[in-house]
Amino acid sequence: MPQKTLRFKIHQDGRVEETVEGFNGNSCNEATKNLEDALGEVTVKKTTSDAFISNQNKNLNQQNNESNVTF
Amino acid sequence: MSHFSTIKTQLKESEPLIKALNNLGYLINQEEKFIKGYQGKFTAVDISMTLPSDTKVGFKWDNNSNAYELVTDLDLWKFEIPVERFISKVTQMYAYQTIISKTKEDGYQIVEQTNKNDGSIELVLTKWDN
Repeated sequence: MPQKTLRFKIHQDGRVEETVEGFNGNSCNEATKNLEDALGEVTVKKTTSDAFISNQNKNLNQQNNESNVTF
Repeated sequence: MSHFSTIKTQLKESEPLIKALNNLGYLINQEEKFIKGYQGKFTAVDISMTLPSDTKVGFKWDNNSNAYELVTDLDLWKFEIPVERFISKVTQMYAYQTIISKTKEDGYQIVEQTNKNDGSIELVLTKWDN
């Protein structure tokens, strides 16, 4: 039973910093999409290290697929 | 997977906006359908209220920005805080109300809420997977 955690810092000018933890794969983007849409405009979005690893693997797979196409 | 986002808050929905105004102690009276705005021109508004010091303000839906915008006559602004500060306070409380209601719908619970010295509000919410 993993715990899902949302952290927010709401600045005095209304700017919101949001950190989302404990999700598998891309589900963390879906988890807060409605909230982000309701709040306004996302100006910065970064994925953290564990997400980076899964994206890297995806890129490697894509590269492999591309080389297959060339041959 | 985790992510970090920064969001520029816009006043996009009336419900959290009204909650935010009430929460800040500003009473919406809806007495006026038109408020004196830019260059003293009367403008139709969706929400109207009178701030202390008889400062009249309204919010009207703006199709270009897809958000509510403030209508007031700056020449008649007598409220104790500057108009920029007023907008900031409303926007911060709007963000707070939106986060509270949307996360509650999704089953999250508040585990920590702190008002920081820099004027920001920090919130931590959690949910256990079934």
